[in-house]
Amino acid sequence: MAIDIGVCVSDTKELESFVQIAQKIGFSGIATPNIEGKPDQHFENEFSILKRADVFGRGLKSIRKQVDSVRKHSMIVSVKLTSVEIMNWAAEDQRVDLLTLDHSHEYRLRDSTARLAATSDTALEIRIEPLLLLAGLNRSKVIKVYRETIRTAIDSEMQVILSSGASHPLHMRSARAIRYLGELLGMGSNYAENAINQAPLDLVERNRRRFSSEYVAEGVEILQKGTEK
Amino acid sequence: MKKTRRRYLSFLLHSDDSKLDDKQLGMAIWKNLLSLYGEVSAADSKLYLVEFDEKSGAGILQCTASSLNEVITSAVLIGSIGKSLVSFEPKKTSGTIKGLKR
Repeated sequence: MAIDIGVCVSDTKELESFVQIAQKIGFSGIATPNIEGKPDQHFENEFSILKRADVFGRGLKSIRKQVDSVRKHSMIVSVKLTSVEIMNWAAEDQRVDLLTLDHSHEYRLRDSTARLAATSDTALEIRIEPLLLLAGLNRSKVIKVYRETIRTAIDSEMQVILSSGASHPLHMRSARAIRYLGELLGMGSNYAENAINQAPLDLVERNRRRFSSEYVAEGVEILQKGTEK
Repeated sequence: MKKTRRRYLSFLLHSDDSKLDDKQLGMAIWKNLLSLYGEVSAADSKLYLVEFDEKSGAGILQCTASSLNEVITSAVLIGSIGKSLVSFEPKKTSGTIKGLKR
């Protein structure tokens, strides 16, 4: 079962319809901003609703402050691709999980940023919703940007993750459907399968471990507590 | 003349409007295929909507084996038909209709 880590529920009243569609098309969880409560919540039938924070701002100082405040309360932290300074910082910072490509901006992923991201397990997030909303020349331009960015990430061994980016329940697509879109964007069949199924699950599992009380730092966990003498 | 290999795809169309008929759906897939891959690919796909149940949204598409991925990608990228939002979910592919229903 897969998790769609890029759903955009704008109103908590709509959450239920997103969950219904997600369950129908075979997802076991979604991650969305704008929800209250714990970073990892469970709905009926073990369906996970994960809290996500999308960080954006003009300066590095503002981004740093936001990441400081949201990390402890969010299962997934994403920073939009903007200036080189912000991208390089976010790519290196282990508290940031995703660099999200915004097709409407002129900022592009650089080789050097992708290599930095690859060393600190920060993934590139590609959202498919713009491809559903646009047509003709405008869609062609988005496909071009997506294909170039994905090529840069794959060449630098940076993980790419596909998500729906859905702002309406019917903009969600099944994992199998998204795999075909991954192929359209220049991924191999196996890579696209991993980008929607395994890579998001691995990311969520890593962060669940971080939220557990036994976690100390990357690679350091409390296995057994000693007794005081 | 060499016979082209056919593929059948079963799918489910999620929609906020149950009035969508097979003609509207077939035309939407065809238009997207044409827009994404061009006139020659659209013609070579031999796309045909075998059946579509308006109530459940379940249906079967037929196309050539070589164009299957292109047809599925085009169908998945349909965001809306007319004024209704839709979500196309590919289910199973097979070389025969009987195989789909197994």
